[in-house]
Amino acid sequence: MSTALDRQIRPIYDALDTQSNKSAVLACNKVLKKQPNNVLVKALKALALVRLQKVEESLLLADEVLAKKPTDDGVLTAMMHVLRGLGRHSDIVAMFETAYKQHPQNEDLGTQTFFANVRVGNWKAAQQVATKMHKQFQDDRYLYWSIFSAVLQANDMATPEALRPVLLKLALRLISSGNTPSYFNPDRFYVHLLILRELEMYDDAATLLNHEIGQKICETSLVCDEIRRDIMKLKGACKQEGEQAKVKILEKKDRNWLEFLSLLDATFWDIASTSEPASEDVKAAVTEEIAKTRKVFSEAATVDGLKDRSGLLALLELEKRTKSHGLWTDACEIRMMAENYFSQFGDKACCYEDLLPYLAFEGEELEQWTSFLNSRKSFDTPDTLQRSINVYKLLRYNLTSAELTPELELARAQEYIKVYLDGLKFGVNLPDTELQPADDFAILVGHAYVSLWKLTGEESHLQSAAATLEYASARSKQSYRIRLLLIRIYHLLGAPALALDHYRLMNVKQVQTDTLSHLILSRAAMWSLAPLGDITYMSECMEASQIYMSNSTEVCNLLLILFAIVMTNIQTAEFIARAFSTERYSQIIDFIEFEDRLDNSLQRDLMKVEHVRMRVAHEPLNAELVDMELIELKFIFDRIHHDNRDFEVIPNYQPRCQPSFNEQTLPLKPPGAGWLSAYLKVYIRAFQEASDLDETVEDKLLIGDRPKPSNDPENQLPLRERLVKKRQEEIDDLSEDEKLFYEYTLALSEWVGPYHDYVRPPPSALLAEAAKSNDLKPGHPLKSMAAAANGSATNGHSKKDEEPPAVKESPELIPKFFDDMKSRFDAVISGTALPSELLHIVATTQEAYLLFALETVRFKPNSIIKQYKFGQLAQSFKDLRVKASSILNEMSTVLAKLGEEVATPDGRKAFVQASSSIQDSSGFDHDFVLGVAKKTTDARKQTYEGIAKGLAKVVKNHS
Amino acid sequence: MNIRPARVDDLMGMQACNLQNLPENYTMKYYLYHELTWPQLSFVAEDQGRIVGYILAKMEEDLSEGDEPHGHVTSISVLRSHRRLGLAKRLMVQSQEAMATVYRAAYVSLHVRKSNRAALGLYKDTLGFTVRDIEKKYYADGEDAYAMRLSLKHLAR
Repeated sequence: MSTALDRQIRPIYDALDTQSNKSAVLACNKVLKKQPNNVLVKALKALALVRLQKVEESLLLADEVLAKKPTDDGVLTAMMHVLRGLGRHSDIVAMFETAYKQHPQNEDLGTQTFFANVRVGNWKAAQQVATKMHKQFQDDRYLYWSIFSAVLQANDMATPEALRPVLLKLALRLISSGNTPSYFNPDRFYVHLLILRELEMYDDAATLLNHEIGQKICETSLVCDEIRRDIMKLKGACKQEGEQAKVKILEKKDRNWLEFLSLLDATFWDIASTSEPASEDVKAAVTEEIAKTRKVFSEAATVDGLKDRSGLLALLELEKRTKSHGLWTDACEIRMMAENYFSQFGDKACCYEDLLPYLAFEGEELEQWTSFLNSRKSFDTPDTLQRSINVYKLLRYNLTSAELTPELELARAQEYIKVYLDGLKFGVNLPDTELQPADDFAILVGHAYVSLWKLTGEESHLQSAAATLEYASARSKQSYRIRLLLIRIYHLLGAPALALDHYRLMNVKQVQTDTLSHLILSRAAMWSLAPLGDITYMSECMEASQIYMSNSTEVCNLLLILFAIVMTNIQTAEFIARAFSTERYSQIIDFIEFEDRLDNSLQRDLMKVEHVRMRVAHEPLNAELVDMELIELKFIFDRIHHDNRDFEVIPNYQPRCQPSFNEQTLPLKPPGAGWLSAYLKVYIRAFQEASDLDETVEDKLLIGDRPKPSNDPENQLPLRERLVKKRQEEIDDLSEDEKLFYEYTLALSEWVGPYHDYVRPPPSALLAEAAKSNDLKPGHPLKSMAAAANGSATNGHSKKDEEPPAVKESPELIPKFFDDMKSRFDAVISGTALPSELLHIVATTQEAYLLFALETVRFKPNSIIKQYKFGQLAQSFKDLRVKASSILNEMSTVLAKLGEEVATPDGRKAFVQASSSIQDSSGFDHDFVLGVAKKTTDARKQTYEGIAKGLAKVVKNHS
Repeated sequence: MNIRPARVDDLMGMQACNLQNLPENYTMKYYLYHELTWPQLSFVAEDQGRIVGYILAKMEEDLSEGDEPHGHVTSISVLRSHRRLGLAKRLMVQSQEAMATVYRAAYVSLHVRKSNRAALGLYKDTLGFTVRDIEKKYYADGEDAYAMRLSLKHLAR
């Protein structure tokens, strides 16, 4: 580059560096005036434009630059950013490929091309590039890039089943073609083992592993050792593994639980490995093995004492397995061991969970166990307090249904409260950041009251639970477990605002939003006051979705670093080599898996659907909303989801004969993949009908890459067919009301669909209009539906040859749905159902009304009715709308009245009286309970009134 | 119980440990960065397939002049249900060993809340750390931190 030119270009880079994109554009224009064909400047201008959101202009420039087939480093780098900004990752690949073809001796261009393919997960092309590079530059690292790309291709969902072994065999052949053996470093060795495992060539793998170097590698490399364990198990070499484990446990004092499991597996191998009934000889042999293993574990337990619990736990597991294989064991053996375990580790918090798998006692054993536990209660020191907490939890676990009467549970709740309040003395001087040692007693109180509510159906018990837990939460601010219980209880009580408060205080962030946001965002639309303009829940969805956006680019970049590190691994200084010599290829797999789990997270798309449901209630139903959501939902539709939601985090100390606390307190079954699929279909169908975008138009207007198609044969069917197909998995996931709703939406779109298809303007008209409109941004909605809706619809509406479809009466199912929901509502009002159930019915009815509005907005203008002779159809719509409106209005009136009643002094008094049982036990004064009552009743009032007003507003907006 | 080096896909499990133990959480990127840059230094404790504790550690990147290479414990956390089993100590010892052998770290440093008596006890009495400094208002909520240190010279090979 000449100095003169350099002087002109520097200011452009400076402006871009400081994000002064407008001045960058000006600086570019200045140069382009004199040199209109300067490709670098054009690329830089495109970059500034894309950052200024001027997508259309940027696009034109970008295409010009690409047409020149650039190979210059500066141009390529700038274009990479431009295309990334436009979401055109596949064009990045094409650009580098073209450049590399022109300069096949340029190693850097080869690397860039490889990385570009990695970025989009295009393993096949990546493999070919790497192979080419290996031939050209004769470096084994490129060989392993190519080998590993083939492995990744074999793992890819989109790869047909039959092709997978072919790819793996190819990879295996390539390994043997290398100049150095795979154990040159642990990563390559790992890749080699991985391929052999996938190809089920266990003997070959074992040969490698038994080699001296193989053994050495496994000693220092965790991933290699893990895959070794795996292969040995698959090979059926369990006994050999067991022998090794025995040595490790006894001689090396290895307390890795995996070693204990190896020995356990080996002990029972002769019985467990066949499905045939074992002969007496085999049984005798195994019994002998059991005795030997028992000796090993006992020895470990004796040596360790209180230092490590592995030995004792392994003994328990050994007895359990012995029993489950029908081998003779003393009936009391497990109980004695559990008692022994408790005596040693009963003052550790993990004791309860450690023992759970072994405690299914009955009859006399249960009696003895219970009396053993009862004798261990004591509250003298913090240590004995922890022991007592375990005692109470363990006793509760084995309660029988006969012992779970309301009277006995109430007595238990009161006892838990007493010991809780008593236990607070051990935490008096603790700072705010610490947890109270007695917290778990409060959690037990919550469990007992929830169980009481389940037994009696009386809401008052939930109020008592809320009051106690609030008390405990104020004393142990860091206890997220207490908050988790409160979140669930407040939802049941119709006070979502309080649940949200506690959720926010938990300070959930980063990846936690993926695993925990279900706590407040599952079916959040039913709590949302979006029609009134309150977007609390909508923003909560948006915020929680942030991590997926930032993550995608993050992981992608890290992935590239991983490959790059592999590259430096062998060449650079000893220090880096030592630091990075382990676990690289395995980390690449980890990263890809991690990215997949986040990108295709079920919770992510559940939140998206909730957001759409609320948006429809919040905003006018115009083309902007319809077209944009249509495109976005269709993107999601083909994903195969991972459920990362954590329900285990919710404490559970309910008796084993009862459902868990989580199950008991779910207002409705949590939405799963079936639910998501059903709702995606409902909304895609409705948007598709309301929209003018058909697939051809969408294809032309959408820039950026499409999601990779999956291999599922079901997905090969045309979209229209798939949208009307009901699947059992979907139905199973819906609540009873949602099932009705699902049927309703199917009937609605089947009825209205043909009229939409007839009236919708042809694609050619739309595209013409899109071309005319200068400010149209790709991926953004078309204005045409708004045009249709406001009556000036002649533009683009060509005369149709065929007659409009005959107007049919509305299907019976549609008015019936509203009647059904009305009677559901009435039944619930007169019964003792919880607020959450009531609100679910209301929200479902409102949603049906909104979908009706969405499906009929196109036919509103008089000009359309006249032009297509839809008078009769319009009348049917009107009748239905009137009917639905009156039902919604009625619901609104009743809800508003309920809201008023709830927050009166009388209503609060009822709450306090309901919680009288917790006041009897000293410590909870009247004022505290009254405070909680006020908060709860106010929150419920706010919800009822807000939703009532929202209903009225929705009716008004769409009448 | 099983202590092993942390992996990328442990991240979700590790974050569960942070619900109460760490009011100041680090970004996902920061975790991944550790995982990627010093894969030998971070460990998790796994019990019945669940992550019940972890240590996230690194080598100090900005060494001031004359300072020897040293490790830093970014965070260490054990679920309350698995306290008092010596887990934190085992995690710490594992990480320190890797710091000394892989990176030749001369010492390891960490910060701890002044009010966190349990952790202070562990670092001082069990692991032999000493307080080098008090950092005023180190935490987001305004609390001071002790800057602590432990020599690793004895582990050098």
